[in-house]
Amino acid sequence: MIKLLLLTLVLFFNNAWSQDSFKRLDKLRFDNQETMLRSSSFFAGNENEIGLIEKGTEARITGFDLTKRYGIGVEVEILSGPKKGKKGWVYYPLNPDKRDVTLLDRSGLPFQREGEFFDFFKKAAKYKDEIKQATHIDLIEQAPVAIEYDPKKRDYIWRQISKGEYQINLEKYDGGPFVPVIADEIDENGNKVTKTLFVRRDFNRMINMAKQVAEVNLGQEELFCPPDSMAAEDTLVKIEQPAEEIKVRPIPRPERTIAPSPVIEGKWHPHCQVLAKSPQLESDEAEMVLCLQSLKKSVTENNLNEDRKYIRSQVFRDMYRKLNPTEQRFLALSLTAYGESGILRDERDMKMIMRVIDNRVKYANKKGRSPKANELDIVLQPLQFSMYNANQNDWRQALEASPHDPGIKLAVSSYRKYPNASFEPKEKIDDIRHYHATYVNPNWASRSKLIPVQIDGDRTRIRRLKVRGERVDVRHEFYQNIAWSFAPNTWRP
Amino acid sequence: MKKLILTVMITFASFNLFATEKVRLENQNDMPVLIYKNKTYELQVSGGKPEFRKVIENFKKGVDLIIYYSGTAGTFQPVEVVRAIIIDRKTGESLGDFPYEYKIDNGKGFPQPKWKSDDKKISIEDETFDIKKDIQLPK
Repeated sequence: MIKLLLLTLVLFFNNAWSQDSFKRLDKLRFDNQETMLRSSSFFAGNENEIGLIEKGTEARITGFDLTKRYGIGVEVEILSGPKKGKKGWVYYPLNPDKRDVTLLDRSGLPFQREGEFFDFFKKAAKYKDEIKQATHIDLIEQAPVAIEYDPKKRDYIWRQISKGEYQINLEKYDGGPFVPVIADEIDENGNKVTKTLFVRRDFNRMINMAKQVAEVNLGQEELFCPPDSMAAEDTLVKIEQPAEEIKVRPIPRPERTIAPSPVIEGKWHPHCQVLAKSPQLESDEAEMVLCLQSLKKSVTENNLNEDRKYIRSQVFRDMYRKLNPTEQRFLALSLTAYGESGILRDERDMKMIMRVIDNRVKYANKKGRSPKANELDIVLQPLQFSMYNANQNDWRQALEASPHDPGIKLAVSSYRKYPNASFEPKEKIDDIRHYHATYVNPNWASRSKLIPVQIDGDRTRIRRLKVRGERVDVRHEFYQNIAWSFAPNTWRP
Repeated sequence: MKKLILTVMITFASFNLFATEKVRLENQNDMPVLIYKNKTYELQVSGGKPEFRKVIENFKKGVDLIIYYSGTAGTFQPVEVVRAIIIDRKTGESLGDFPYEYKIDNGKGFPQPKWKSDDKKISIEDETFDIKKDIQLPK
């Protein structure tokens, strides 16, 4: 009997422990003689190399980049050796034979990962994110399972929630013992910062707030319902403030994440409201990069085949189905600029590609099409922009590119600056609807139609690249009045 | 013998010329069109100047195919696009305009359109345009 009891206990704790194993993931150790640390999670070329890290060096894991197909990017802070204190990125491939680092748990022992590779790191990334943003929860890293707060701090947070100063983040709340709370605070430099706090749930206060919200929103559907998992384990705490003093902001309903319905105009993906701003400022670019990331995530989720490759038809269809028109334009222009300008990495070139897309939209709609062609229709017209061809991987790579990739940042920056860019020659620029890379020669490319365009007072950049084994000068050449007819693609609903 | 060969060649050439002359390429309102048996068919232009290639009469019972070069599309992987208009021989109605062949330098692995047919239908499958279509043959 005792044995059975012990076995049950062991099984129970094992299970509880393994479910939360991602919380114990803490450090990594460099195993190879020399491994490159990079300033961004972009693991090709040498633009972002910081330096080589010696074998045996340990580093704390501070974040993840989950946008890669064959592994993940791990953000680290070096804890030992000559590069101590340096922050950067290393690659952790899916294939164990290709790994240069070992993951370690809090005790410094090799970490045993449970569950599917990408799902596991998704959980770990979410957890690290929450830890990064959290305040008043110093204990969470040391003892993630059993946390007890200082009651004074807990009361303070609940009072702020009651006053409407802080808000419960229902989107992130999983019904567990700790409630995520969004708090706007002023930091030591006087800047407003938004943080996520975790407060032990308090059944009494939540019920009371729900009553208040119901009164405020009588007749509306904003009633807060405590999750089913709230059980008697929650201590009923006597409320310090009388109910009439409590002012409550309406609590937003969590968005449904399963089987999302088509997004209508005016609904924005996370971080994308910045697209409605005019003009967008340089300080908005970081938010725009995050917006692009959330759009890419939205159109790719649930669209992987068995080989973990994106299914072209489904991804393209979701670009229409899930994004609002402004988001469609942003994705079409910035993704195409990234994929087409590729290794040229030239802002002027990217702006001119965006201009070609807009010129095609205007030309297609001249004939009074219904429905009107938009930017997505133009870039996805088969065979026109080579990056989207069925036999090309460039569109997949563009969708998988990390937000830290310099090319992505450049594409977003080019998009922001594009409305104010100047294009020459003015009298011909609207008729330019074609371009090609100089290492190919389509039969419409006649010299008489070639226009040496200038963007912001200069020509596009030439780069010397290796093409089919030969070093050649590469740039895009632009042409006016090449015959072309628009035809709608099959992915538009 | 020489005379016989010459006669055969002249006869063949004149038939070929006749077939070609049945189809005319024109520009109407800035749009390239093909005129075939007094009917006008709008062309899809992939990039550059389209060209008429050939007519396959009675491709299947009751339908002709007009094959034309639709132009070259692409920014770093130019693809010459050959398309085909399926025509009902009796009514002259176009039953569809589909990709027929792609030509590309070093084009190994470039997915080609697949045309299949039986007594009742022509089936076209194409990964590039994401098409999977059955055209019923006229009765």
